[in-house]
Amino acid sequence: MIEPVILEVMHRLNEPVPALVQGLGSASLVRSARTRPGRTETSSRWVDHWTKRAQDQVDALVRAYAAGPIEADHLAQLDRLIALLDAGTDETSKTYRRYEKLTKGFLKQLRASAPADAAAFAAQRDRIFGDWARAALVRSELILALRALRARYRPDAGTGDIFDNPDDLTAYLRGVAA
Amino acid sequence: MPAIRLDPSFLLAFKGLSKSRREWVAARLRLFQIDPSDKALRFRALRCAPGHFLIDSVRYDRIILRRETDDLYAVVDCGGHDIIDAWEARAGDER
Repeated sequence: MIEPVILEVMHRLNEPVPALVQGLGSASLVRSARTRPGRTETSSRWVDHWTKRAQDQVDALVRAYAAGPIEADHLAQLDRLIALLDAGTDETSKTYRRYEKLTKGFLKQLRASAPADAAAFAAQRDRIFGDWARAALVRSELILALRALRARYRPDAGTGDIFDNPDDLTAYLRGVAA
Repeated sequence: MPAIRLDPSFLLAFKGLSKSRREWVAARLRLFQIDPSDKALRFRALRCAPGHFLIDSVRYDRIILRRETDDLYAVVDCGGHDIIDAWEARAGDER
């Protein structure tokens, strides 16, 4: 069964990773950075757990396609999944940059008003963004795995020209028009 | 020196790139054919895609290949995103 696995992958890879950074820039996080530095361990564990689940689900999808039978609609579903996830990457990229900017501004204010808290917050911020980036990179590679899967099942897969000489390859690619 | 097959799925993605990005991808593939073990390619297995490999890049397009035989690789896709650079830099501290 391919459909249920596609849905699982879609939900998993679109999980709101920004939940990791919810509250970055808020007073409560500054307090917790000082009193409960363990919070970042939670975000790191969350990423490890998420990574394992996401990989398992993409593996399951690869197995489901290998087991077949594959109908035309299954390929269209894979196309839609990839398009949706690519749009998610654009969205995450914007959110990531916005949070980076917001927390940078907040950190600057904190350095002026409460330098002791600022150090704890800065460390917390680095860890959380590091975890976020780590998850985002895994996600982007899993999308590439889905693209590889999609390419394998195209009706014209395996029909390209073969090059065994780098000069011929270069000349051919140079001639490919946009 | 491995033979390289350019699959239609790759050519479709390749044609969608700007000229400078196409030139970069072409140069990577040339380098791969001349010396697949060149460290600059950051060549590695692609996660969750048995038989597939990545010519990896932080700043430019990444290229997906499938190993058909010991001497033949199919190039099946390419593409990139400008945020990868920032994520690699951040995650680098953690790994």
